Amino acid sequence: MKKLFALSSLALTVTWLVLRATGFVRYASVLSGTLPEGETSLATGTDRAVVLLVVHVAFVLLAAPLALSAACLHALEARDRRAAQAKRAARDSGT
Amino acid sequence: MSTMVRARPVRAIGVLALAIALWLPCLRFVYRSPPEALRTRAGGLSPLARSLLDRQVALWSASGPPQRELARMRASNPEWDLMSRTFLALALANAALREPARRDALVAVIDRVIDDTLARERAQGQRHFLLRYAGASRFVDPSQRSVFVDGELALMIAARRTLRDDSPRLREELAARAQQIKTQMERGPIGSAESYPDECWTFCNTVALAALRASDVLDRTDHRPLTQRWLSNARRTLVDPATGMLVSSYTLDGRARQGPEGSSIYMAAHGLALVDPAWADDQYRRAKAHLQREWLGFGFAREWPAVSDRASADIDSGPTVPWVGANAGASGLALLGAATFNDDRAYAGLVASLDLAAFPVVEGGTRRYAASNAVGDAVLLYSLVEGPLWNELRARGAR
Repeated sequence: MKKLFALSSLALTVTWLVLRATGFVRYASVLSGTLPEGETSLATGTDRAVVLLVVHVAFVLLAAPLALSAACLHALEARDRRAAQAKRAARDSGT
Repeated sequence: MSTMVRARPVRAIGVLALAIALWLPCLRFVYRSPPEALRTRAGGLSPLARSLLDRQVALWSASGPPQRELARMRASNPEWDLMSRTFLALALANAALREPARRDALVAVIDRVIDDTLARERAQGQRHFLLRYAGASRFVDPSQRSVFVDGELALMIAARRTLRDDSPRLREELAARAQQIKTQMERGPIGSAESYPDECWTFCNTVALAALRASDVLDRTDHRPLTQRWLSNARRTLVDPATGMLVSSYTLDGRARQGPEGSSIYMAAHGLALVDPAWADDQYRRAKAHLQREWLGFGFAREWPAVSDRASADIDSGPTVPWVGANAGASGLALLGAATFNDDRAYAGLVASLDLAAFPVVEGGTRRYAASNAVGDAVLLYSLVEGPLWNELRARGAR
């Protein structure tokens, strides 16, 4: 799960950056009922506006929590490993 | 060991849920600016206002109006073309009063906006700025004119003349528009004028009242009796009983067509602020209570009050976000309402939502919002600099 969270966060961030860098953001004008630049009808830009919006919302709401969760899980797993090692060491020394 | 393996996904989901719960309240620290960084009270411009202003000035450069921007909007709604010009002219007038050193340059831009608008109206008639159904029937008033166009043009010209009253042509133009509006309002059974055939809008009529007030100040005319007649009729016939807010549209004889709308009420309150400040403030407070929401520091406005049975958007309103009811047009104009009535907290929340969801684009030190359009950007700019023009007119009117 830790890897899944980290990779999801990375994928969202990269996708969001790529959409911004490639000018996909022009389709956002559909949100105000305005033709995107270079388009001739609102309908043609709507699908892309929906993709942009979904990626944007996912990025804003999830990218940071996913990265934070991955970091927390990493720390928890390290703690679990240390606890297991300590337990094993105690058992070994007891025998 | 197997219990531990099974517990790990549960723990991971729990950690993610906790992270989301911690992150959501923190979003405001990323997107919300302190009010003093948005609107300056004591003259000058905030960095946000300056970056928007510089883009608008560049768009209306000496080479002419931003045809492509306006054409993209006109494809959806030709009214937005005129409204973007009005809000821009008003914003430029306020910016010039805030920064006297830029006054001449900004007056030149306002002149370009006004000249181009007048030229288009002359060449293609008022219907150039109206939705197609304006041609479907005849106006009730014999003048066959729209107070939407006359009122906004009159207000633009009045704003320009407040900065520098050196053009006999603009003096004549304002006098003619004011006379036209007066004649139509006098003929109207409840003192209103039509924007479309047998369709009056509080938005347009209150803009026209503000223009008449400005004309009184500039030209020493007196439209107060006409204004009082409109106000008393509006209080009697145009107030929605459920909310106490002005309805948005009505027939010439005063039958409501559409109840209160966010895309109308904030501008109506802004216009009324020049002619009846107490009622204007009351209308803003009611609109805030019935239409505005704030969640985790992010503000938005609905187009219709929750008590209304309206469920579908119309072309004036722009798109509405399903479920939450956040509306682009209403939220944009709520900025103007919050600015006019010094509601700093609401203003900061609305701008935070813009920065979160409207895709700000910064290019060469100028700023725009990709999800917005020319009228949206002009409204935002106007809300950022609004204040000095109304104050100047009030001060001159009191002398």
